[in-house]
Amino acid sequence: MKKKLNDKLKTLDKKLKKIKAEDIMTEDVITISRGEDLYAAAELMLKNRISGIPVVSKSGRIQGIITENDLFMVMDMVKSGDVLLDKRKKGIIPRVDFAMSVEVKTVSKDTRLDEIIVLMKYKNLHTIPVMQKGKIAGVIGKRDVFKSFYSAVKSC
Amino acid sequence: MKTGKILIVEGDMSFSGVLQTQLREKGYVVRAQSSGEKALEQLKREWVDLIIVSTNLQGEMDGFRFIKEVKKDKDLSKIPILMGSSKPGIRKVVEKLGVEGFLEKPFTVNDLNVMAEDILGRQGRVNMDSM
Repeated sequence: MKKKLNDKLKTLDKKLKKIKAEDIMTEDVITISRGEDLYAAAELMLKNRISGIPVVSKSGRIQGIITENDLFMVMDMVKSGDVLLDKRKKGIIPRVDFAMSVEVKTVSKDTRLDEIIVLMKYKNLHTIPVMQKGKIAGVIGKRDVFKSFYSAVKSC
Repeated sequence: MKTGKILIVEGDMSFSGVLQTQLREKGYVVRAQSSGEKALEQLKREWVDLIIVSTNLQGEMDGFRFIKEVKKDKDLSKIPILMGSSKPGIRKVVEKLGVEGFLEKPFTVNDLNVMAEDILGRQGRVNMDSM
Protein backbone atom coordinates (compact mmCIF):
# COMPACT_ATOMS: atom_id res chain seq x y z
CA MET A 1 0.00 0.00 0.00
CA LYS A 2 2.76 2.42 1.05
CA LYS A 3 4.87 1.43 -1.97
CA LYS A 4 1.96 2.08 -4.30
CA LEU A 5 1.47 5.55 -2.80
CA ASN A 6 5.19 6.29 -3.08
CA ASP A 7 5.17 5.22 -6.73
CA LYS A 8 2.21 7.52 -7.42
CA LEU A 9 3.97 10.43 -5.72
CA LYS A 10 7.10 9.79 -7.77
CA THR A 11 5.03 9.73 -10.97
CA LEU A 12 3.34 13.00 -9.98
CA ASP A 13 6.67 14.59 -9.18
CA LYS A 14 8.02 13.58 -12.60
CA LYS A 15 4.92 14.96 -14.33
CA LEU A 16 5.15 18.27 -12.49
CA LYS A 17 8.80 18.61 -13.45
CA LYS A 18 7.91 18.07 -17.12
CA ILE A 19 5.29 20.84 -17.18
CA LYS A 20 6.88 24.20 -18.00
CA ALA A 21 5.65 27.76 -17.70
CA GLU A 22 5.12 27.95 -21.46
CA ASP A 23 2.72 24.97 -21.27
CA ILE A 24 0.36 26.65 -18.83
CA MET A 25 0.75 30.37 -19.49
CA THR A 26 -1.80 32.55 -21.25
CA GLU A 27 -0.08 34.00 -24.30
CA ASP A 28 -2.67 36.64 -25.02
CA VAL A 29 -1.48 38.98 -22.28
CA ILE A 30 -3.64 41.84 -21.11
CA THR A 31 -1.55 44.75 -19.91
CA ILE A 32 -2.18 48.25 -18.65
CA SER A 33 -0.13 51.44 -18.39
CA ARG A 34 0.73 53.09 -15.09
CA GLY A 35 -1.19 56.28 -15.93
CA GLU A 36 -4.55 54.53 -16.39
CA ASP A 37 -7.02 54.84 -13.58
CA LEU A 38 -7.87 51.94 -11.32
CA TYR A 39 -11.41 51.73 -12.69
CA ALA A 40 -9.89 50.62 -16.01
CA ALA A 41 -7.86 47.95 -14.20
CA ALA A 42 -10.98 46.72 -12.39
CA GLU A 43 -12.94 46.56 -15.65
CA LEU A 44 -10.19 44.58 -17.38
CA MET A 45 -10.03 42.11 -14.51
CA LEU A 46 -13.80 41.63 -14.46
CA LYS A 47 -14.19 41.39 -18.23
CA ASN A 48 -11.36 38.91 -18.68
CA ARG A 49 -11.82 37.00 -15.40
CA ILE A 50 -8.22 37.58 -14.34
CA SER A 51 -6.82 38.59 -10.97
CA GLY A 52 -3.67 40.45 -11.99
CA ILE A 53 -2.41 42.65 -14.82
CA PRO A 54 1.22 43.47 -15.72
CA VAL A 55 1.89 47.20 -15.95
CA VAL A 56 4.02 48.03 -18.99
CA SER A 57 5.66 51.06 -20.56
CA LYS A 58 5.01 52.17 -24.16
CA SER A 59 8.03 50.15 -25.26
CA GLY A 60 6.61 47.03 -23.59
CA ARG A 61 8.99 47.03 -20.63
CA ILE A 62 7.44 45.65 -17.45
CA GLN A 63 7.13 48.30 -14.75
CA GLY A 64 4.95 46.61 -12.17
CA ILE A 65 1.92 44.51 -11.50
CA ILE A 66 -1.56 45.37 -10.28
CA THR A 67 -3.75 42.72 -8.68
CA GLU A 68 -7.23 42.18 -7.30
CA ASN A 69 -5.79 42.46 -3.80
CA ASP A 70 -4.44 45.93 -4.64
CA LEU A 71 -7.91 47.02 -5.77
CA PHE A 72 -9.37 45.75 -2.50
CA MET A 73 -6.72 47.68 -0.58
CA VAL A 74 -7.64 50.90 -2.42
CA MET A 75 -11.35 50.22 -1.82
CA ASP A 76 -10.53 50.05 1.87
CA MET A 77 -8.54 53.30 1.67
CA VAL A 78 -11.39 55.08 -0.11
CA LYS A 79 -13.99 53.70 2.27
CA SER A 80 -12.03 54.82 5.30
CA GLY A 81 -11.45 58.28 3.82
CA ASP A 82 -7.68 57.83 3.58
CA VAL A 83 -7.82 58.39 -0.18
CA LEU A 84 -10.05 61.02 -1.72
CA LEU A 85 -11.46 60.38 -5.16
CA ASP A 86 -12.36 63.92 -6.15
CA LYS A 87 -9.65 65.83 -8.05
CA ARG A 88 -11.17 69.16 -7.01
CA LYS A 89 -10.58 68.27 -3.36
CA LYS A 90 -6.90 67.75 -4.20
CA GLY A 91 -7.08 64.16 -3.10
CA ILE A 92 -4.96 61.39 -4.45
CA ILE A 93 -6.38 60.13 -7.71
CA PRO A 94 -6.17 56.35 -7.65
CA ARG A 95 -4.25 55.58 -10.77
CA VAL A 96 -2.58 52.26 -11.46
CA ASP A 97 0.80 53.53 -10.25
CA PHE A 98 -0.74 54.41 -6.90
CA ALA A 99 -1.34 50.78 -5.98
CA MET A 100 0.89 48.70 -8.25
CA SER A 101 3.85 46.72 -6.97
CA VAL A 102 7.08 47.74 -8.62
CA GLU A 103 8.93 44.65 -7.46
CA VAL A 104 7.78 41.98 -9.91
CA LYS A 105 8.70 38.35 -9.65
CA THR A 106 8.88 36.81 -13.12
CA VAL A 107 9.73 33.40 -14.54
CA SER A 108 11.07 32.22 -17.87
CA LYS A 109 9.29 29.96 -20.35
CA ASP A 110 11.17 26.91 -19.12
CA THR A 111 10.49 27.38 -15.41
CA ARG A 112 8.95 24.16 -14.08
CA LEU A 113 5.45 23.92 -12.62
CA ASP A 114 6.77 22.64 -9.28
CA GLU A 115 8.96 25.76 -9.02
CA ILE A 116 6.01 28.00 -9.91
CA ILE A 117 3.90 26.35 -7.19
CA VAL A 118 6.64 27.05 -4.62
CA LEU A 119 6.86 30.68 -5.78
CA MET A 120 3.12 31.23 -5.53
CA LYS A 121 2.87 29.55 -2.16
CA TYR A 122 5.93 30.94 -0.39
CA LYS A 123 6.10 34.37 -1.98
CA ASN A 124 2.33 34.79 -1.85
CA LEU A 125 2.02 35.61 -5.55
CA HIS A 126 -1.17 35.43 -7.59
CA THR A 127 0.00 36.45 -11.05
CA ILE A 128 3.42 35.78 -12.54
CA PRO A 129 4.58 37.22 -15.87
CA VAL A 130 6.59 34.89 -18.10
CA MET A 131 9.48 36.70 -19.73
CA GLN A 132 11.43 36.11 -22.93
CA LYS A 133 14.24 38.43 -24.03
CA GLY A 134 13.04 41.19 -21.74
CA LYS A 135 9.46 41.14 -23.01
CA ILE A 136 6.34 39.53 -21.62
CA ALA A 137 5.67 36.26 -23.43
CA GLY A 138 2.78 35.20 -21.24
CA VAL A 139 1.24 35.31 -17.82
CA ILE A 140 0.39 32.63 -15.26
CA GLY A 141 -2.42 33.03 -12.77
CA LYS A 142 -3.35 30.83 -9.83
CA ARG A 143 -6.15 29.24 -11.87
CA ASP A 144 -3.66 28.11 -14.53
CA VAL A 145 -1.60 26.43 -11.82
CA PHE A 146 -4.62 24.75 -10.19
CA LYS A 147 -5.80 23.44 -13.55
CA SER A 148 -2.43 21.93 -14.51
CA PHE A 149 -1.66 20.57 -11.06
CA TYR A 150 -4.99 18.82 -10.62
CA SER A 151 -5.04 17.37 -14.14
CA ALA A 152 -1.57 15.95 -13.43
CA VAL A 153 -2.88 14.46 -10.16
CA LYS A 154 -5.93 13.03 -11.94
CA SER A 155 -3.85 11.31 -14.57
CA CYS A 156 -1.55 9.57 -12.03
CA MET B 1 24.52 43.69 19.89
CA LYS B 2 21.08 45.29 19.79
CA THR B 3 18.22 44.71 22.13
CA GLY B 4 14.54 44.89 21.40
CA LYS B 5 11.75 42.60 20.33
CA ILE B 6 10.59 42.85 16.72
CA LEU B 7 7.48 41.35 15.13
CA ILE B 8 7.77 40.73 11.39
CA VAL B 9 4.44 40.52 9.55
CA GLU B 10 5.22 39.38 6.02
CA GLY B 11 3.28 37.27 3.53
CA ASP B 12 6.39 36.34 1.55
CA MET B 13 7.62 33.49 3.72
CA SER B 14 11.02 33.17 2.09
CA PHE B 15 11.75 36.90 2.56
CA SER B 16 10.44 36.71 6.12
CA GLY B 17 12.87 33.85 6.80
CA VAL B 18 15.81 35.93 5.57
CA LEU B 19 14.77 38.93 7.71
CA GLN B 20 14.27 36.76 10.79
CA THR B 21 17.71 35.15 10.52
CA GLN B 22 19.58 38.38 9.92
CA LEU B 23 17.79 40.42 12.59
CA ARG B 24 18.43 37.63 15.13
CA GLU B 25 22.10 37.73 14.18
CA LYS B 26 22.07 41.47 15.00
CA GLY B 27 20.85 40.54 18.47
CA TYR B 28 17.13 41.28 18.26
CA VAL B 29 14.47 38.96 19.61
CA VAL B 30 12.31 38.21 16.58
CA ARG B 31 8.76 36.97 16.19
CA ALA B 32 7.11 36.44 12.81
CA GLN B 33 3.63 35.97 11.38
CA SER B 34 2.48 35.69 7.77
CA SER B 35 -1.02 37.12 8.28
CA GLY B 36 -2.38 40.25 9.91
CA GLU B 37 -5.01 38.27 11.79
CA LYS B 38 -2.41 36.04 13.46
CA ALA B 39 -0.14 39.01 14.14
CA LEU B 40 -2.95 40.83 15.98
CA GLU B 41 -3.58 37.71 18.09
CA GLN B 42 0.13 37.52 18.90
CA LEU B 43 0.23 41.20 19.89
CA LYS B 44 -2.54 40.60 22.41
CA ARG B 45 -0.37 37.93 24.06
CA GLU B 46 3.04 39.55 23.79
CA TRP B 47 4.31 43.13 23.63
CA VAL B 48 6.93 43.99 21.02
CA ASP B 49 9.13 47.06 20.60
CA LEU B 50 8.73 47.35 16.83
CA ILE B 51 6.46 45.95 14.11
CA ILE B 52 7.78 45.51 10.59
CA VAL B 53 4.88 44.95 8.21
CA SER B 54 4.56 44.35 4.49
CA THR B 55 1.56 45.25 2.30
CA ASN B 56 1.62 41.67 0.98
CA LEU B 57 0.15 39.48 3.72
CA GLN B 58 -1.49 36.08 3.69
CA GLY B 59 -5.08 35.87 4.91
CA GLU B 60 -7.83 38.44 4.40
CA MET B 61 -6.04 41.47 5.79
CA ASP B 62 -3.41 43.49 3.90
CA GLY B 63 -0.68 45.58 5.51
CA PHE B 64 -2.70 48.79 5.26
CA ARG B 65 -5.67 47.28 7.14
CA PHE B 66 -3.30 45.74 9.70
CA ILE B 67 -1.80 49.17 10.49
CA LYS B 68 -5.29 50.66 10.83
CA GLU B 69 -6.25 47.89 13.28
CA VAL B 70 -3.10 48.40 15.38
CA LYS B 71 -3.56 52.18 15.44
CA LYS B 72 -7.16 52.01 16.58
CA ASP B 73 -6.35 49.65 19.46
CA LYS B 74 -5.42 51.80 22.47
CA ASP B 75 -3.21 49.04 23.91
CA LEU B 76 -1.23 48.59 20.71
CA SER B 77 -1.24 52.01 19.09
CA LYS B 78 2.00 53.10 20.74
CA ILE B 79 4.04 50.32 19.17
CA PRO B 80 6.16 51.86 16.40
CA ILE B 81 5.52 50.47 12.92
CA LEU B 82 7.85 50.26 9.97
CA MET B 83 6.29 49.37 6.63
CA GLY B 84 8.28 47.59 3.94
CA SER B 85 6.41 47.71 0.65
CA SER B 86 6.88 47.35 -3.08
CA LYS B 87 4.16 49.98 -3.60
CA PRO B 88 5.83 53.40 -3.45
CA GLY B 89 2.55 55.00 -4.53
CA ILE B 90 0.89 54.39 -1.17
CA ARG B 91 3.73 55.88 0.88
CA LYS B 92 1.99 59.18 1.72
CA VAL B 93 -1.25 57.47 2.70
CA VAL B 94 0.58 55.02 4.95
CA GLU B 95 2.70 57.76 6.53
CA LYS B 96 -0.48 59.66 7.38
CA LEU B 97 -1.56 56.67 9.47
CA GLY B 98 1.33 57.46 11.79
CA VAL B 99 3.93 54.84 10.88
CA GLU B 100 7.48 55.61 11.93
CA GLY B 101 9.09 54.54 8.67
CA PHE B 102 8.47 53.37 5.12
CA LEU B 103 11.03 51.26 3.28
CA GLU B 104 10.59 50.61 -0.41
CA LYS B 105 11.16 47.03 -1.55
CA PRO B 106 13.52 45.63 -2.55
CA PHE B 107 15.55 46.72 0.47
CA THR B 108 18.56 45.17 2.11
CA VAL B 109 18.65 43.94 5.68
CA ASN B 110 21.21 46.69 6.30
CA ASP B 111 18.70 49.37 5.21
CA LEU B 112 16.17 47.78 7.51
CA ASN B 113 18.62 47.53 10.38
CA VAL B 114 19.56 51.22 10.13
CA MET B 115 15.92 52.26 10.20
CA ALA B 116 14.98 49.80 12.97
CA GLU B 117 17.90 51.00 15.08
CA ASP B 118 16.87 54.61 14.55
CA ILE B 119 13.24 53.95 15.53
CA LEU B 120 14.14 51.82 18.53
CA GLY B 121 16.77 54.37 19.55
CA ARG B 122 14.09 57.07 19.51
CA GLN B 123 11.96 54.82 21.66
CA GLY B 124 14.92 54.42 24.04
CA ARG B 125 15.01 50.68 23.69
CA VAL B 126 18.41 50.16 22.11
CA ASN B 127 21.09 49.39 24.61
CA MET B 128 23.68 51.90 23.40
CA ASP B 129 26.33 50.71 25.87
CA SER B 130 26.50 47.28 24.37
CA MET B 131 26.74 48.42 20.71
